[in-house]
Formats: sequence, C-alpha cells, structure tokens
Amino acid sequence: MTSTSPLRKTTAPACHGPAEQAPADAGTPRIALLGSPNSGKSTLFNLLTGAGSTVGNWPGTTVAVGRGRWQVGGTDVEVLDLPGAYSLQARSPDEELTRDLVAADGAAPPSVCVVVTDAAHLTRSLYLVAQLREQPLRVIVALTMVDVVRRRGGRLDPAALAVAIDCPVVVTDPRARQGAAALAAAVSTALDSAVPQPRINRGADDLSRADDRFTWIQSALVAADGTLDDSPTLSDRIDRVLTAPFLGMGAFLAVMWLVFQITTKVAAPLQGALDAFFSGPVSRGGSWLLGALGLGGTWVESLVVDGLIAGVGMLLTFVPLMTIMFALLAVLEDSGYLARAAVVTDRLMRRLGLPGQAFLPLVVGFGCNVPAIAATRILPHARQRLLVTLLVPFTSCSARLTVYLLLAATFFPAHAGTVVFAMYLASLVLVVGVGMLLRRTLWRAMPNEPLVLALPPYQRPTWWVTSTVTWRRLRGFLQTAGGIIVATVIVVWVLQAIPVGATGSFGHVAPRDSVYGAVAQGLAPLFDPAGFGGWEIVSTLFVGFVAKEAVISSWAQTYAVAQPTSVSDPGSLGHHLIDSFTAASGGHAAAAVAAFLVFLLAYTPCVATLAAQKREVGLRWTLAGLVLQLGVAWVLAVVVFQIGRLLT
Amino acid sequence: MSPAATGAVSGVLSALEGGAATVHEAAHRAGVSLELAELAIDTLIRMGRIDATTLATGCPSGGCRTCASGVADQPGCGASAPSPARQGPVLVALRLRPPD
Repeated sequence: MTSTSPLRKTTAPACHGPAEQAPADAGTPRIALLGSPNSGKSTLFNLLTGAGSTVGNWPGTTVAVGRGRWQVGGTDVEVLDLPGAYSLQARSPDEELTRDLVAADGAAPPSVCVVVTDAAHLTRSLYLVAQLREQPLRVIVALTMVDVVRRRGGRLDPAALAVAIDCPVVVTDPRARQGAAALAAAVSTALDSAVPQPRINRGADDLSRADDRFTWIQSALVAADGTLDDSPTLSDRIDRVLTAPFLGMGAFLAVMWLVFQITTKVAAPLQGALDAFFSGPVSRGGSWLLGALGLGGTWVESLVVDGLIAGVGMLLTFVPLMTIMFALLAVLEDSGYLARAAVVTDRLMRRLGLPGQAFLPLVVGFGCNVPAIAATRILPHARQRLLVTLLVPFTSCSARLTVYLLLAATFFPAHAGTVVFAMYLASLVLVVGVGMLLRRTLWRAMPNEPLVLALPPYQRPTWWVTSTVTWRRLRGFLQTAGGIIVATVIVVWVLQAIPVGATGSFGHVAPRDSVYGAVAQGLAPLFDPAGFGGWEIVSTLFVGFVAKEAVISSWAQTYAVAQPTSVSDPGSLGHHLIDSFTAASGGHAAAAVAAFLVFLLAYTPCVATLAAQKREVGLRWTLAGLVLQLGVAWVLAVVVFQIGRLLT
Repeated sequence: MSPAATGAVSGVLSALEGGAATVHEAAHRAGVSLELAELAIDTLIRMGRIDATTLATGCPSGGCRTCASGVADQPGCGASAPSPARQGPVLVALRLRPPD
C-alpha cells in the first residue's frame, strides 16, 4: 500500500506502555495477525498500523506482542501482532501465548484471525490454518511470497486455494506495501458476517486428527495447483551412495584409510626434521648449558637431557602428524560427511542390537575416552549408559595413535598407514563384538529406540573453521600430553634410579636392576603366551595404564637411548624394539607386535578414563570394566600371537 | 506403509519405527514429500510421540562452551540440553517415545 491507501492509521492509546499493555476498549474488534516466524507478519503489521504501533510484554508474561490501531471500512480495529507460531500445539512460551490468545473459548477471542501464510512454504503454513479452521473463528489467509514461488517457476492459484480451505485468501506483499486494501476489504466483510461453522475433524485421537489435517492440506495443495520443487538435490544424490547400507560402510572405511595414508605419508619427513632439531642442537645446547653450570655428567643432565628434552621433543615431533590428522577430520566434519558416517554407524549398531544413539560417545571416544564417557549421558536409559560406558575404552583414542605409528613404522615400514587403519578397524570390531557379547549375556532386555538424522547439506569446508578446529584440538593434545609426559618422565626416572638390592646407588643403576625393572620382570611371564613377555616391553604397559601418551618416552628411558629420529625411521629405539620383540617371541616378532598392538588397543586407556567411569557408573562397574578390558586384551593378544606364530 | 491408508503423520511415524535413518528415508518410506515429512516430524514432536535432541558430531570450533552437547552453565560433552551458544554442524536426533 502507498500514500494513496484508503486506510487511515491511528495512534495507539498512551496507556500502552512499553512494558505492559492494557486490553483494547470493549467492543473494539480485535484482529489477530498469526503466522510462522519470517512469514512477513510483522512487516504486514507495520504496514497496517504504521508508526502508531507499540510493542510490549503481554500482561502477566514476558512475551512481546505488537499492538496498533487500524481503520477498516470506517471502523477502528485493534491489531495484535502475535508471536510467530507454526502450530497451536505449543513448544515455546511465545507459541503458548499465541495459542491462548486465539482460543475460541478463551476470555476474548479475536474477531478475525489473519494468518500470514508464506506461499513458498505453503505446506508448513497451512497446518496452522487447519487448526484454526477447526475452531469457531473468522479466518483469513494473507498470502505472502507468491512472487517468490512464481520466480522459482512454481504455480499457485489463490482463488482455488480459498475454495479448498473454505476461507478468504488475500495476496499481499508487505515489503512492496501492496495488498493492504484488499485485506481491509476482506476483514470488513468478515466482521459483517457471522462466524463460520468450524471444519469437522474426523480423527478419534491426536494422531488421527493430525492425519486428517494433513489430508486436508494435501487436498488444498492439489486444488490450488501448489507445486513444490521436491526434486532431489546434489546432496540427496550423493547421500544415496554415502548412506547406503553397504556402499556407505565401504565409503566410510575407504575415507578413513585415506586419512591415515595421507597422515603417515605426509607427516614422516616433517617429523624427521623436527626430531633432528631436538636430538641435535637442542640436546647439545642443554648439555652445554648444564656443563657450564657444573652439572655435566650428573643425574641432573640425565634427567634433563635424556628425560625431559627427549620426552618433550618426542611429543613435538608428533605435531605435524596430529595437525594433518586433525585437519583432515575437521574437513570431513565441516563438509558434512561425518554426519553421513554417523548414519552408517548408527544403522550398523542398531542391526547388531546396540543402542543407536551410542554412536555419538563412541565417535567422541576416537578423540579422547574421557569426554566420551561423559557423553554417554545423552542415552536415555541407565542400562544403555552403562553398556556404552563399558564399551568406550575400546575406542582407539588419539593417544594410542603415536604407539601404533612407531611400531608400524618399525616392523611394517612399507604398510604403516594400513596397519594404523587396521587398528582403528579392530577398534570398531572390538566395540561391536564386546557390545554384542554383553547384550547377549548381561543385558538381554534393553530398550532400543530409533534415531533419525536430519542431514545438513554438503558444503565446501572453510579455512577458518578447519584451521580453528585443528588448532583447538592440537592445543588440547599438546597441553594434556605435555603435562603427562613431563610428570611421567620424572616418575619413571626416579623409579629407574632406585636400585633393588646392592647392585648400585641412587641414580647409578641399570634400569633392569631398579625398582622399575624388578616390578616389570615380576609380571613379564604373564605375557609370555602373547609373545611379548620381555620386561622392557611389559614395563611400558604400566606407564600406558597411567596414560598412553607417555609409552614411547618410557621405552626410550628404559633403553637409555636417544628418542627415535622419526616414526618412519625409528633409529636406535627401533633396533632395540626389534631385538626385544624377537627375543620375547622366540623369533616371531611380527606376531608379537600384532599381539602387543591389540593388547594396547583393548586394555585400560588411562587412569583419567577410569575416574570418568567411576563418576558415571560407580566403583563396582568401573572395576568390572577394568577386569573386562584386561581380560579381553589378554585373551585377544594370546590368540593373535598364537595364530600369528603359526603363520610367520 | 502407504500414507493413503494410514495418513501422512502415521506413515512417517511408522517409517521411523521401522528404522528410517534420515528424514529423506522417512519421507520415501511414507510416500510423502520431504516438506510434508518434515512437517509430520515437527507435528509428532509437538504431540510428544517423539523427542528431538540436538547433538554434536565432534568438538565445535568455539570450544566446549559452544558444544551442542552442553548448556550455558554446564559446558562440554554430555550435558542435559543443548547450549544456546552452540555453533558448527549439528544433528537432530529423534527418539521415539510412547504416547502419554
């Protein structure tokens, strides 16, 4: 509408304060504007009432309602701009107020309900119309966005729609100030008419009543020739492959294999350069500085250079590897692919009888098990939470990745990426296998509810999101691992410095003759059947019990050698490892390493995970889980070695 | 299940109960348009037949404070409701529950 409009705008009474508003004068017709958010309702309200309108909280609520005066056919009417609502079945305080204010049996039902209806989303908008038509109310549909529908090539016949829904339909375009006159005429006519008979909904319960409304909507759409572009998008076509039961799983495995291949191939030379820097100039600089301070050749130099500098340096050599892996995962996440992977995983878990929602904590577990345990709270049933809490430690966290890489590069240098990928695959198999075992023994009856995912469309990953997410995860890894490694290096150094018996003095004893070595030698025979019963190998499992991040640095301390030059060229540490595994396995080193990797994957991730489990499920189940992890790890390691020994 | 025999909302509900994993799949199984399926799911949520929960697929770019699994006063994974400050890609999970 323009300045030629026949409508005269009037100013709202002064008593309509900004906080609360007084009711309209008795006898003044009340016109309620309803509609979904962003349907153009408030723009239409401003067009009808102009500058004289006010916005304030409805009495007794914190919900804002616009009120104004509008003259229709010589009669002053009050216009209410009600909060946006999709339905009279309210989900928010705003929708509750809208429902209450238009209730036909309420204190002051509106004289006319004008439903601002977005033609571009007609299906959704008509549900509110359907609910209103079932009440003794005068209803007018103000149809907006018709131009948008026609620009998109769609069709819509407002006159036919009016006949189908049995109420007036007025085409308006509030942004272009058009349609107000026609709407005023329709409102005036409605005010002069009796309240129409409500539409009869033949449903017997809420579900069948909703079905009845949908049938009414579909009939109206057909009658109005309302066409919608429901053809599959590019995302839909891609999803037909990536979320298909078998193809989707194959694609997921292929993507993850590619991630580990890229990670291992690209990171290797960068790691070599970093390690050369720490084991060369930095270590020499540390020795020189301590020598200048008169501490050269003492236990202080051993602790600082062989322990702290080497340990922290080792951690920093993994920065390129973790950066690449975190960046690739961030790209997958930002592109929308991980949501598809969740669909595939969820479907698999449900078919195996495991709770579908468990995929979220398990996905988190591949980063770190501690927040994954906390994430089990999303599961609705206590039994589901307990089951998934026991399964999370079998997901391979990023801390275990460094050990996989070192051993894969040492023993299987040509296939390091594939070995790491196989460990993640083994992790999935473990989760599913142990889950099915528990489901069929301890928890035969467990509620299992479907999960439906609204997949976001694919999008081009952005540098900003990818770099931000990568940096946050890398920083978290470095902060956690850095603190753990420094603390563990010191504790391991102290335990290795305390002699057992009369074989030396503090700080001057071979690791084998220290407290550290003695404990490891006492437990090593337990692992003989698994092929890695050497005390040097077993000792690192204790450290790994505290935190997997410190496994490699403790090995390096044990062998009293420099840290590996890089994960793809493990240098002298690698040679020591080959010797130890070969000796412990009777010449079947490859089988023993495979068994060790499986044990490392399956046994307790770290004490922080145990603490998280205790917080969520209590001490009794935490201890039961601990026994389960150690038992499964030991049995699998023995099986892998015994079978591997026959094959190698 | 044919929506003509049972109605669009019942058809979508049956599709969900039958294991449809995405809204697209539910629409396909129920034989309705995607827009109608989305409206049916919204209606089912309002009726209390299913629950909707916003989930995070991974750590968000804004840190734990913005995690979809957290709330403003209880950031991080596993909190009881989505954080209003959540950012990044999220999933909507629909959990079937019996009618009241």
